[in-house]
Parts: sequence; structure tokens; C-alpha cells
Amino acid sequence: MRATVTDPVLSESGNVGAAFGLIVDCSSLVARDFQGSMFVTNMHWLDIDPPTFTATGLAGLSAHGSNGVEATFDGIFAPAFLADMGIADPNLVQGYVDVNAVTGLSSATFAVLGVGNGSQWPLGSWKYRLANSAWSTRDIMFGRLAKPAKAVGVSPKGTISTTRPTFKWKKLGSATAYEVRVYKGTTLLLKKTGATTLSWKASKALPRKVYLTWKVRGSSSAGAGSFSTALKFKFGLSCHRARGRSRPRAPTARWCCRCPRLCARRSASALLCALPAGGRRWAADRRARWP
Amino acid sequence: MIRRYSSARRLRRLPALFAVLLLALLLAPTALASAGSGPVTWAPVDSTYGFSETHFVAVPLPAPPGMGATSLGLGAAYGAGFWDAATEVFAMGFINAIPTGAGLPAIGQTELSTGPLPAGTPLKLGFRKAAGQKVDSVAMLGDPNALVSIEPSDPATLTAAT
Repeated sequence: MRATVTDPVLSESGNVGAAFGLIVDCSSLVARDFQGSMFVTNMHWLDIDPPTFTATGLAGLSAHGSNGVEATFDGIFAPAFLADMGIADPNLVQGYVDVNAVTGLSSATFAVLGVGNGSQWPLGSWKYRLANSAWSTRDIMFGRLAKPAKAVGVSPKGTISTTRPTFKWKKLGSATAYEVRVYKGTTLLLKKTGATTLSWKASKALPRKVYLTWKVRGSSSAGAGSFSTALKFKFGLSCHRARGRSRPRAPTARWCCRCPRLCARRSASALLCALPAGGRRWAADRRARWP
Repeated sequence: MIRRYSSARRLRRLPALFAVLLLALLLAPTALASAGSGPVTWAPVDSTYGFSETHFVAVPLPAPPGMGATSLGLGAAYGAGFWDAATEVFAMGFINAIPTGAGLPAIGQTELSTGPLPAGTPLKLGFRKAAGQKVDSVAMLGDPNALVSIEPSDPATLTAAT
């Protein structure tokens, strides 16, 4: 290996006038296999680590800088590795601080330094330079973050027992936020953007007795991914199940009115259910038909 | 029944304690050596510094394997590496004092500006690893505007190399 001692910048551990060190990552983790790539920085070697964040299409390291002090990071990659990252044109590589593209940050800059001729870095390898001055612990990454893959919704689906369900979906590797949409037919009823967890509870009660659909999609700094396949659901548990009974006892008017689905089946209006006499008639009829 | 030890009986146990202590002292260098004998080690005698490509020298035992210096005299700079088996990461750097043990040094010990390795000193460093050991990446603190290279640069050849 060939390199040169340098004067590092102030970083989390402190500062010295000259230093040299390196970190060789031999991890067996596939996500950290950067195929012998090199990273060169003027940040002290005690403050650089293998990346804590890994994503398809990105390679880099983790750094612990001093806020307000600009540190530079060079990434040197062989064309074969760039191709494995899904990057056909090395000029399209971007710089990322954590998962945020440098193009959207005021505290960072990124430059494509070009292909090497062997005098400064290996012949044929591409070199990129990222400078960053806003610090805590950051993942400094190079590559091309793809839009998140098609999302996968988990629940609700089918018949549910609450009008304010919690929507759940599967994690997407490169997504930093999720968007949930709920529809009645083609009418958008609810929309939640910027969800950072893998679930979200409906912010208001959804209509009963009708089938609704919902879908989710992930987004990253590369853009929004595809929506999940829409899942269909409907509020509509029968009263006795909702109340934990295997068989209803003599219903009261209150009980009956909490059971709009059964009332609807019996073609009884809410007013009829509310009447004790109507309730008694309904109960007698119901007992006779109960299996 | 309560057993009581007399002073004489306590004294008779002292040789045993000394034996345990002696064994621990004898095994200590082995423990230090094992900390630096991971899949990647620095090869000081295969490494050079400066424009005249002066060879580093290996620091003799009981120093851990893979430890070198610019010289064995006063004012030398030392190089030492630390292999973390849990993360499979090798960290190596130069320091201005003899390492006192395995692990990373304090930042004050990494100051090289007043020694034989000031900023701007070119380095040619050799390392040893097991054949088949894959190198995912190398991150280094170094001059980004000077020559930087890994040989062999081909990942398959690098993996096969020792």
C-alpha cells in the first residue's frame, strides 16, 4: 500500500499536527463488501469506522467529526465494483451524508474527480470527493441510491373490528419515510406522509359497512418508490364476537344499536332497534334462527 | 463446625499464590501477542518511509508481532496494529511511544509532527494476511492529494494474496 502522512483536521478525538493510520475492513458481511475500495480522508484515523448504514448501491464509512470543521473524504472505486452497485455511468455517482444526497445539503459538497491514470490513484479507478462540515456521527457514502422498491402492506386486510385501524407494512432497505393512502373506491379518504416507523394508526374513524382499500410506498432522497398492492378491508365484526360472547343473551336496545351490521341484515332501522318492543321481537326471532 | 486458619497455615499458602502470579506473568506476553496476530498484520521489514525509502525495523520480542519502528533508538516512531476479531476489522497507525498494550492509542500518542514521520512523508506499507482473507475496504487517514494505491488492486488477486 502506498500513502502519505498528512496533517489531519480537528475531529471528535482531537487534533494533532501529523498522523497516519488506516482501517482495514475484512468483515464477512455482504453489505460491507466494497471489493477492496479505498477511502482517503483527512479526519483522524481514530475517528473513522466501517459504515453503520449499508444500502444497495452505496459504499462508504462512518466518521465522527467536529461540528463546523470541514473534513474531506475521497472514495476510490474500481469500475467493476461500480457496475456491481448498479452504476453504469461512473459520472452519475452521488455523495451522501447518512442517506441524504449532498445536492440537498448546504454543509456538504461533492465532486467527481475522474478516472485514475496511476499517478495519484490506481489506473482505471474512479475517484470522488465529498467534503462535510456538519458533524455528529455520520455515514459518508458514495454511489447511487435507488428509489425504494415496491412496498409491501401487511395489515389491515379483510374484516376488521375497529374503525381506526393501525396500518402496518414491511421495511424497505433504502426508504427513509413512508406514505400511506386510504381510499373508498377512487376517493382518497386519508393520507399520511413522512411516516418513519413501520406502522401508522388512522387519524380519524373510517366509514363502516363499505370496503376500503389502502396502500403504502417508501421514499428516499432518490425519490418515491412504487405503491404496494392495494389491500381491501372493511369494518364489520358481528356483535357477539366483538363482545366476546359465543351466543348473545337477551339483547337490549343498547346492545342492538351497537350492532348495526345485524340490524341491517334484519332490515331493522336504528329507530326500531332502539324500541324495547322491537328489540324483544328481534331477540325472539334471532333465538329461533340461531344455529 | 467453624474452621479457623492459623497464621502459619496462611503462610503455607503463599508459595501457591506466588506460583499463580508467576504463571500469569509468563502468559501475559502470549496474551498480548494473540491480540495482534489476527488475519491482518503489518510487516514492518517489508515497509519503507520517506523519499529515500528507508526500511522500518521490527521491534523484537516481547513486543507483539506486527509491531515496527523507524529505528530502535530515541525519537523513533512506532507502528502497531490491532485486530478486532469480533468486527473483523484491523486498525493500524503510527505513534510516538512504545505501545503499552493491545488496543487503540490515545490521540496524543499519534502525534508525528516532531518525529521522523512528519506530514508529507511517503509510506510504502506491507501487510500479511491469510490467503483467502477478503479485504472489503481500506479507509485511511492520509494525504488525499498524494499517491494512494493498494497492490494488488484486483480484488480476486488481493483475496488470494498473503
